Amino acid sequence: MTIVGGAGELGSTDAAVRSPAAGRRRRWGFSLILSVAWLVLISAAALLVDLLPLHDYISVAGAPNRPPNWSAEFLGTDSVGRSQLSRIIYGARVSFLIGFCATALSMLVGGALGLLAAYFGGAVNSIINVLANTMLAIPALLFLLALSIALRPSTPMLTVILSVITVPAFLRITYANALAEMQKDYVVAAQLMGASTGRTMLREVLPNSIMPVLSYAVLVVPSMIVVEGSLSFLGYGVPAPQPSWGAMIAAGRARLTTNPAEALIPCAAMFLTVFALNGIGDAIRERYGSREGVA
Amino acid sequence: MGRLLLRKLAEAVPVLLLVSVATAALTDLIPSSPGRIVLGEFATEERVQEFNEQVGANDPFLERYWSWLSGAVRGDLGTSWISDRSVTGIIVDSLWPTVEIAVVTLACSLAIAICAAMIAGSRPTTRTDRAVSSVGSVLQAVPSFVAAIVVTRIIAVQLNWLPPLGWVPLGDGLVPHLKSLAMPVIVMVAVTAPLLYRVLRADLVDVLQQDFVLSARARGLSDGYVLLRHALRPASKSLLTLTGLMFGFLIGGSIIVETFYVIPGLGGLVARSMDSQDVIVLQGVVLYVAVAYLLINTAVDVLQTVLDPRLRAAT
Repeated sequence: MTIVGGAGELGSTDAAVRSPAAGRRRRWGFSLILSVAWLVLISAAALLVDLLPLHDYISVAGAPNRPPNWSAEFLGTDSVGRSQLSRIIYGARVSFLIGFCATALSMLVGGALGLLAAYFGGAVNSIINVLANTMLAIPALLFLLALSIALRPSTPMLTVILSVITVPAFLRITYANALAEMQKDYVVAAQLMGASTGRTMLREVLPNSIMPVLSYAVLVVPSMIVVEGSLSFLGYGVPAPQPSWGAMIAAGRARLTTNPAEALIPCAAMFLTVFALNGIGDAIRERYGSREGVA
Repeated sequence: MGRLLLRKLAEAVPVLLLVSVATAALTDLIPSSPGRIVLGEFATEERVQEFNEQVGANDPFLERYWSWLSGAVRGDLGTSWISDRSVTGIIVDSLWPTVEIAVVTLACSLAIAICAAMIAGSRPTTRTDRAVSSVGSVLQAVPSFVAAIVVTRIIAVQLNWLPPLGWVPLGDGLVPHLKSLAMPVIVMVAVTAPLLYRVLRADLVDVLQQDFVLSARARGLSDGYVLLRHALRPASKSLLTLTGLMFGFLIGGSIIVETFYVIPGLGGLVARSMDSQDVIVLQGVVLYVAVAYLLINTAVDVLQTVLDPRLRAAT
């Protein structure tokens, strides 16, 4: 899925070949400004939610099944009467927390394995490769469902198992970039000067191959949010009563005729967030990313 | 090409073995025993033990793994804990809707993506290109469950064109069958087509800048002819790889879409086995899906060398 098949090629080629000014103009286009604005708004709300004059996500805020209206609960209420506004904001908190932490963890593990494979090559590389291919042979969602039947995920556990699915992708990108760096003169020079293996890898190769990895990571965050949403939609994500956009969409599905806003509002939140992160990720990748190693 | 096929299949063997070990270990990872899951909280300890003995859950791991694997090679994946039916039988029965939806989705997605990429990629950075690409990046931000909600709300609730859920087999009439097929396919196409479009467009823009395209144009060939006969084939290399990888995407999507539209396919089966904790069915699905994934991607690799003779010399 989006996770491994990361298709971030749009624009990266033509912007580089054609006039750089066109690329720069599009980088700060209208949609990118809106994207940043939405992310600032939603993450500020998620961070400051305890200070805002809102209902919490469990207590009843009014009559159940109210559609959006001109009151303090302007997004309406769900079938129990809980505030949709509060649940969207608390849901954002869960999504962002899981999205960023799972990506960071995955990058750490995949990056370390990629460096090891690049440095040692040979048998270590083959073993790591077989492990990565094994991961890729099982579709991500199926893999996560199978794991979550065994592990009964809490939020931290969910973060850990989500991070597993993108390890192969991070591994490959790090491996490809580290391998390219290792052939350069400055690495050979460091080795000739007697730098240890650890020092060469961590102080010379790593800093010079990390930008493409980081810019790929920005694109992994939205896919993590989508996968968490899918799991919650199926009922195997963050445990209730903690709100999650995926679970809110699944709950609102039953009232698509009578109160469509209940499902459509978390849908909109999910779409805006993923769209914004994708756009920013593409803009960063256009500048710093490399095309090798992905897909 | 035979050598390549052999090498690819040899590479798949350790992967398959690892997948099978990991899947078999799933039974050991679940917190309670099979007997407790199937018979429920209130069953007596003796009956639970008896059931565990019966399904072999008390045997040591290697013994259990061996009997499961040797069965799997013969196509026997054991018996469902819940329904007394053979796992292979259950999977084969639910295969058809999923395969049909996947094939139709892939065909539609490829058709849309190729047309859109040819329109946009042949005139990069123009207004047309930007419009098509914007639609693509909007759709790319729509997860399958969001697409399902929006499509159902518009087509089934507001316009009342199609039934909101359910599956009518082909035997019960062609039109009702196509009606039940339409919404799942629309949702899956909305999710998969933008990915394919994006990759093909980028490659097409690259290829159209190369010298052989210039020389074809200089010979006076029309733009359309150059696009179709000279540029499309070299540009579709990543598209083909991605189409192979799409398989995992389609299986993952089918879990969401088939749960949403209550379709008795493989994805629906996964969701139901999750709910009833029928782990042995899940193990069977994971193993079959992994085998199918490896076969499809090996086929894609071989097809690559057919399309691009230069790769044949390299192997």
